Amino acid sequence: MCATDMTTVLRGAPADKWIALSEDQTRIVGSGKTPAEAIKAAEENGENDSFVMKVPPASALIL
Amino acid sequence: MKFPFIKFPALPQPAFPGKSECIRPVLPIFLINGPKVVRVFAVVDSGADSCVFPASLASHLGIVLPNQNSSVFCGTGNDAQLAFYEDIKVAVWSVVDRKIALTFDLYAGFCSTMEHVGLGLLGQDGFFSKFKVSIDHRNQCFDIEP
Repeated sequence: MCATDMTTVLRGAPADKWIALSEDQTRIVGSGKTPAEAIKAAEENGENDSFVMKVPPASALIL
Repeated sequence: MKFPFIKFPALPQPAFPGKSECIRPVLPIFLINGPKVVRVFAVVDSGADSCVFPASLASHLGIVLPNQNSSVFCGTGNDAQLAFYEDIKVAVWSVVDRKIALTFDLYAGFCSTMEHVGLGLLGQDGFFSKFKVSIDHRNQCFDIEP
């Protein structure tokens, strides 16, 4: 089993915002300053089952 | 039950000049509070004492913060941090099978200082206490057994 590669989709993500990803996690379907804003944007795009995250800074490792 | 790591983008830094990506044991999960649901991602983190999530997710679940269930914790910085806990349910989503793989009750913390991370942490109390977790970094996957 290989890692799920989200590098391409996350490199295109807006900086310092919450994003909503499609259920299969291959597309950004919404974004906003808060999770609620990102989810609302996704729903307006017809995506009701999106997952939200704030994109971790690519320049920072998580400890 | 096997789950793949997720590969995130990374930027080269002086300490890691060749680094362009980073794999992490991250799960897509549903946080559930009655009829309210939010779908998020959480790092499986054996170094975390409990399970905490960004505070902004609480309002989406109808959880009012602050509440009386406060707890101080510390990370790598000097300042103590405050999390507020509430009983919720969690469902783990399998991207491979496109279905819920397992569910469990969780006394989850919500903390404003997790906001910049944008991911939850699944730590010892509430996650590792319920499941046998085996990390296989070499094969970019991890196994969760009830």
